[in-house]
Amino acid sequence: MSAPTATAAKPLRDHLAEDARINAVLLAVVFAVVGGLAVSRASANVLTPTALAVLLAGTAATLGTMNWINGVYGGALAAVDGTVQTPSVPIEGRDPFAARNVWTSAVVWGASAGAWAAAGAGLAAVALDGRRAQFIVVFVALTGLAGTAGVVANAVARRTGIDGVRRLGVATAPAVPLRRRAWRQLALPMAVFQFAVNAGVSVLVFHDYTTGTAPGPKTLDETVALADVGITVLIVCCLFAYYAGRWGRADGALGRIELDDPAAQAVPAKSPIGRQGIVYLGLIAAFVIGPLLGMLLPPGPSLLAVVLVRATFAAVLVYLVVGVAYVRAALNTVAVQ
Amino acid sequence: MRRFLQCLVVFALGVTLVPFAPGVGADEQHATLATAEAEAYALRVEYDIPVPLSPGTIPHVVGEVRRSRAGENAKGLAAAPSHFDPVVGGSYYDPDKDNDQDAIPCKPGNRTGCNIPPHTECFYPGDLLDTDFRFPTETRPETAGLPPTTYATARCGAGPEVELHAVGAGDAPGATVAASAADALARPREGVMEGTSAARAQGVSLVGGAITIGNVQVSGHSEVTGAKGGQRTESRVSITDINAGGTRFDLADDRLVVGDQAMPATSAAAQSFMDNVNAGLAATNCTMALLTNPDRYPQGFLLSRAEPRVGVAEDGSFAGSMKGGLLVLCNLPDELGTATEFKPQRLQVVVGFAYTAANAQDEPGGFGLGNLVDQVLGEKFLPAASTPPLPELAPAPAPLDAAPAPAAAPARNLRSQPAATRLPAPLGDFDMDPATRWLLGLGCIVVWAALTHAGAKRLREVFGP
Repeated sequence: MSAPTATAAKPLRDHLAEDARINAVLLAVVFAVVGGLAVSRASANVLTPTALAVLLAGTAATLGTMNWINGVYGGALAAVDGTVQTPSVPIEGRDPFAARNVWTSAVVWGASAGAWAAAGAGLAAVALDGRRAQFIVVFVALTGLAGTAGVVANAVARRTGIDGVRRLGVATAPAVPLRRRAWRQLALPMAVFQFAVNAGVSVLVFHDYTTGTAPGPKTLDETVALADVGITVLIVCCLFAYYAGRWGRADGALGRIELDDPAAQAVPAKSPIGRQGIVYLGLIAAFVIGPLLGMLLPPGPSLLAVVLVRATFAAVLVYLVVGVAYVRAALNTVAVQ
Repeated sequence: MRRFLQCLVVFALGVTLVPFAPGVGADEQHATLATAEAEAYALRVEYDIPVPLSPGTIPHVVGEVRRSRAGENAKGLAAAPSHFDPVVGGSYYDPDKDNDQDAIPCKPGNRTGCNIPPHTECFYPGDLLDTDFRFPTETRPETAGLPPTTYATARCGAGPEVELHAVGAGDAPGATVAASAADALARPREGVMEGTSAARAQGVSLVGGAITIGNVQVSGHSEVTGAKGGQRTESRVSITDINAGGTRFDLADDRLVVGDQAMPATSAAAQSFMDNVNAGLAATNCTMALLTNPDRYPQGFLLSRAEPRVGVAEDGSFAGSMKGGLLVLCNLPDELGTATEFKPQRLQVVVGFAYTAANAQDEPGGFGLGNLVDQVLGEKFLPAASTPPLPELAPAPAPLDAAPAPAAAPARNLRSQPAATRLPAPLGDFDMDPATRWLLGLGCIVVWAALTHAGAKRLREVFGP
């Protein structure tokens, strides 16, 4: 068995450019799905300019926010792992890992990205001049506006995270108790944010369904509203376990957390916490909680009721997954150190 | 790094220009006319006095979508029953209620006390985009909390698209229907302009039970792609368990089925059989005929509009067809009207009718896989020869060799397709005048440029000198 070889640190520009390329490819796939969903639910499969602007602004704002947080932590991890050559002179700035700074920056970038995309959509509306947008327009606009905003937010955040690591020891906030950091500072805001995101997605998916008790196809009933609970669970568990795991690893490596109860929380370095907790959480959510959600919906539910139930379910799941994944990754990292 | 940054900015700038590219954007700019029509009903009853007077057509759906250089529009009517005759009542008499209510004030949202059956219309563009009439839920305060026994819904929207549904049951002098439903849909979809309609009824009784019909099902579908080979149309009719003066038979498309024997409806044997049926009905003063070709009959009571174009254009620009079921004519005795001023000379009933047509001179639009690239490559990806399946608006007519037709079905067990009555109108569908358009463009350019500058500056700092 050969000894593991250390990954060569890449120059900062190459690191950022490679990350941007990967992001662009992933976003193109996501936008094909989002754009397809949007036009498939639209009358005659074309979007009005207003609908296009709302879709673009919402998607860009979501990407700006999420990509900022992931970028900051991604950059920090790359710096900690030594996969990027950190700049000799970091850009001055606030401590990017402090909870307040993480979320205010994320919200500002989300709002800016949303405004930028909305302005671009306004230009598209002028160009369309009363016509409606087909899939190709929706896809290109999503890619060019929301995608560009997301890639830029991620690149700037990544550099901010790298510089934040570089400045450690100079302007670092004190360590935060693990539970507070995990459940209050990260999981709770993220759950609130995902509530809004999932509410928007639910409206997008179900807004053209018939509501009420009349039987027939394309009627929004309990079965239809909750048919994709398993997919929601899968996406949330995979995505946020990955994201939060990276956040926990970064915070643990940077000494940004302290154990609330070391005797109970300390983990031996040779037997780290596994991923079983997330798996069990997903299984319970998909096969126990998910089927019970129907009890919250009245017969012939309104769109609002469906949106609330779906968004609440997703938000609670995000809260739990982020909290569990973050704590697991942070404890494992602290144990190794 | 500078090259990457420049590429990013140029790409973002280029993206905003994409909508300006020729051919991008949907609708309203098609070179020629594209239309689709759909109509269906289960039972039309008229009294000839001699001016046609009708208790209505139940259930009835009729709609049309049209797109041209001038724009697009959709219109439709759904009713159970509708009143399309020169002389119409429009309201019914309720012995327990105030019958002086004028029909004119009866509008959506204000139908309390109105003695009118469910009848609703839609038109796009305009305010009547999504309408419905649930009966008697909306006409009496005491029934407001109850589910409707009959209803009609009509939805017109961008595309253009019209979707109609009507469900009802009814009694009229000389005809009763235990349960019935009708649906129609016309729209462009995936490069196909299509019109689809269907109607069905159960438990039909005519002339006091002298003629009974177990089931009526009619359906039609027409579609064109604007290209040769893309045209298709069909109409089907199935009327089963017909009992006329003690003689039982079925009608399935163009074949008459008696027991285990089927014969072409236009054959001499079928005509001879119908002569025998009519001989058995002589005591009722009624005659019955097969409506194989509706255009053989006067257009007034049968179609209530100009005779439609039917057939298929070889160049693929048009497809249309219609089919009817049965025509029943009864000469009414004078004694019938001795006690009243209502002295009809004849009762005429059409059992089952469907008409659909589609017309397009070029690709009619609507989302399709080809749309992913055709605007970019400048090519048209026309649908394959096999066109999309028909929407499941109604069960297909029963095959001839199916099991014997069931006895008269129990009343009110038909289920209509749902009405999309809660569909929102397209979000923010508005037309900008030139000044608004320029102001919006200017404002968006300023905001977009300012934010682009801020983002590019930040990105330049990130990547370093």
